[in-house]
Amino acid sequence: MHNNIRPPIDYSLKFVDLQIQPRRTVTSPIWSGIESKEIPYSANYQNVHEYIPWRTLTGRIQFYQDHKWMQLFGENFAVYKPLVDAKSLSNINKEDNTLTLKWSTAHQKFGIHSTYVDLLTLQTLSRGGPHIWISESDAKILGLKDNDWIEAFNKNGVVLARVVVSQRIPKGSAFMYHAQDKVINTPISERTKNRGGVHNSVIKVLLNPLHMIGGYAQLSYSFNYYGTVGSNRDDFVVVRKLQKPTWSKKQKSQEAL
Amino acid sequence: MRVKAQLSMVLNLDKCIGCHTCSVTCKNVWTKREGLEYAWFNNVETKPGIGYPKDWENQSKYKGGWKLENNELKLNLGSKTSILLNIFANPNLPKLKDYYEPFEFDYEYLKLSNEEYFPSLKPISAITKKEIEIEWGPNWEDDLGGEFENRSKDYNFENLQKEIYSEFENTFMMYLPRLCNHCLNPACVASCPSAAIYKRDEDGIVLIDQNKCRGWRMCVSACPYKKIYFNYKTGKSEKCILCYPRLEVGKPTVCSESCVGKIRYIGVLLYDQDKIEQIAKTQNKQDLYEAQLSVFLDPFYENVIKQARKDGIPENFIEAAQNSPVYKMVVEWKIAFGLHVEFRTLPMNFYIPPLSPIVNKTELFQSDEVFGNIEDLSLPVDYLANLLCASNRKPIVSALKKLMALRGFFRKKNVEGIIDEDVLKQVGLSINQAQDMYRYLAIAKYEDRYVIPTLHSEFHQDNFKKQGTVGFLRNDFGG
Amino acid sequence: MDYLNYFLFGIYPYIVLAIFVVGSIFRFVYMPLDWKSSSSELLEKNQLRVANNLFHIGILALFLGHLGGLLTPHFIFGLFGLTDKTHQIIEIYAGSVSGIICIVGVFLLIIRRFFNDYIYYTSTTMDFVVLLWILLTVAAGLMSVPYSYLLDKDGQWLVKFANYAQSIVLFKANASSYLNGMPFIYKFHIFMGLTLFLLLPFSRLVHVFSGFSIVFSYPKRAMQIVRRYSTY
Repeated sequence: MHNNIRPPIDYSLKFVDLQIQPRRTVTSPIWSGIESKEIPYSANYQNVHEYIPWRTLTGRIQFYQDHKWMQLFGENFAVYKPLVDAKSLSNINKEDNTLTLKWSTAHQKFGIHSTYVDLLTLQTLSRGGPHIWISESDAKILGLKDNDWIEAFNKNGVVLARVVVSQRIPKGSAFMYHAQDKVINTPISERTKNRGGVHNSVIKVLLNPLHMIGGYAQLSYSFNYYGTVGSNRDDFVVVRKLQKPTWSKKQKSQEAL
Repeated sequence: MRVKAQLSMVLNLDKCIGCHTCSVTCKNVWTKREGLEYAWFNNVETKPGIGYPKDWENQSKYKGGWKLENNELKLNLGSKTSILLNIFANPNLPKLKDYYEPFEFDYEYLKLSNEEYFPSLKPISAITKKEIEIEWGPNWEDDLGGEFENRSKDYNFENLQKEIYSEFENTFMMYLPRLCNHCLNPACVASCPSAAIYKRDEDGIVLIDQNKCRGWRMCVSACPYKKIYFNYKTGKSEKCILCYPRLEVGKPTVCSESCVGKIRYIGVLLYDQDKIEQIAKTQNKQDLYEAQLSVFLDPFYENVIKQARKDGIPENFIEAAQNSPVYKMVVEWKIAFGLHVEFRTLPMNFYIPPLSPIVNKTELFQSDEVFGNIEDLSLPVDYLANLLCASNRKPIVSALKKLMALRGFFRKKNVEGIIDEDVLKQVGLSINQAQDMYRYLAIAKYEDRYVIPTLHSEFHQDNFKKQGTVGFLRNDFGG
Repeated sequence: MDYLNYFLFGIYPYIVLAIFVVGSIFRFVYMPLDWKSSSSELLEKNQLRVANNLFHIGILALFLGHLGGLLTPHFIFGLFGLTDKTHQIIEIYAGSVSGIICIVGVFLLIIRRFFNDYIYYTSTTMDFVVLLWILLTVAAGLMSVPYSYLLDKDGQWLVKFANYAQSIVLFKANASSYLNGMPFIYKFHIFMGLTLFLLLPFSRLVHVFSGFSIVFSYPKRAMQIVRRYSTY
């Protein structure tokens, strides 16, 4: 493995360059791309061009997982599985003018998880506060216009945000970029009598035992948060239009202080 | 023939990922000041959409650019007399709401709040400091946000059956980074009553002399790209300066330097100044693209070099023009186009049209049918033609085919190990050219992207004395 | 009282003129960044369209009217067969019309400046001062019209004011004596009007110079401007 640690061939750094920022030039076994003037940067370059085996059981890019648990769960190939019903909608009164939508919380464009999301420049470039994307046809049913306030809720909680109506969202789903903190432009929810919530308010942690496989070649367990990786991203929410957001500047009573 | 040099930019939209790094860095450097909160010298738009400011391409609304009347070039804004008559109130000036109302947050409140609930910041207006509802932003339509009905007011949908593109399956989008085009025939310069705006002789950068600007606001309307911003605090107009302090010492602009996708190229173009007026008067707007190409001079041609030396172009500019990536893309390969040439300002930033996914079932690189059908691209060619070539399809199609052929050629070469010259021949490229294009478009190393000659300011002034005398001082404004 | 009269209308005009000339030149040469019209059209457009046009048309007419009416030597009117009385009547009507146009404009501008948040929060103190000052000046001018109409039967007051203005410009002694015994409202109007010139170099009003200059320079100049590095 140490063979592929070598200095750059056609790449030189001056002292000034290093003063500006640290640079990666030496190739290494833990980073499969290389810096060169001859090729555009791409991952897995060393594996492909220098015949370095991928670190999988077979040494190749591997789609088939022959771990016993995987076989037991029928997941040894990437397969389509319908959404797990996490019973998030049980005991929810479905009012008029609501829609049940699939909830996805994708990575966002104007922040890295929760970092930088409250920066003014990035808020200006996005929508200046939390927003949920829904499709045009769903918006029509709910009587929503772009930038209206909506409420998305289920058994787990409530999130209030403004809506982005877009033709890019497939019918029947709602996207909310994750970690748009409620420190910015989030009203009070009438349902919970508390500040409107974030993307995680309407989902709960579901453990997927397959993510706990460890010690088996490329299948290795590492602790993320609350156990395994976030397999909790998919759920259903009920969405309705919020006629008028409630804002409160109610101060704490003196006794509470 | 009078030879002039211009530093101009090519933006490879094929590689733009819409990350807004250019906008953010530009904002941080140039417009993070009171009075210009709403201004973005560089902004990235998602097309189709009405853009920033709203509907900027619609010149029947803002009256920017030039028009041809009885073979005379006239400002859309009107004659000089009508400009002077409109000086008290300019009916064609965009409102602040057409850009957006700049907002900010009182972050300190989070710390000091004694609210019963978790504190949350309402946006406040950057001007009045009062709470506002956010209704529009500089990038409101990001990634096709907003109803199709509103976005499709996009001027570029002209002559297109736009309804079918509202369907989920037929959705298309592209990013369009926009900055001042530093035009050869700028309308802003012509419209300025106090003659404050000028084109720099050495490198063609269009600048506003802040000492001469009196705030008559005509340039804001006259610029068809709406890239001049009125600073409501200082009462003067400001615009992109192509980071000239950086260019003068041979560094690329901030937006180029920070570009993550390596989509920007800066290089020198030599052009014939005598031809400009005649070119801008080209009768048919569809011929404007070809006409503009004829202004540019071949930097290897001996007569051009001779004349350039005679006209006082420094040696390093001539050398830079010979190595210019811009010249290669615009003139040699003909894959880059000016934005909305029909405004007749002869814009000097060029855009390489983006390829887009093939939506039809046609196989792309089958044996004899090399490209599939260009109509199968999800991004309609007519839309690109309206945007980049005054609805002239032909040059756009040829550029897209070149880009596709390039991909086909290198895919075959890398995957199958076959050098297939036929693919290139169909679009009129040689293997050498293809390799060059690959080097510039795919590898795009820093030294190839930016070939910027330094400006010899020491010939013109005593730099030691000038130190610390230029730039903004806060105290200069007031009253 | 005589002394005050002498100071305000005999000496003060020269103080004003001195500050006006020196101040304007100083500001133009040393503070060019500050020389501007300070437009607020970007922030508010619709009210401005009406108010600003009215105001500017009115005040330009008033300015040119005062200039022509006061500084033209008396015998020239005689050449055209214009009696003092007819001249006075012309001045009264022209002045009232343009005065009303101007005062409506300036009133709307004041309302806009005070009650439009965007304008209010971006205004400087001087912007308010200048507007209110112009309002008072024009109002005083308009209020003096009935005095002229009713009390000045043969147009001799007008001649007196013209003589006063001309003797100020020509540095004649005892200019202020022309104003002896004139009603207060005229003196107030003259004082306010003079002070406007005092305010000019310290406020946005400097754009008046540029405004007059572009009328002559802009139509003449070539469409495109190219400047060399060495020239700036």
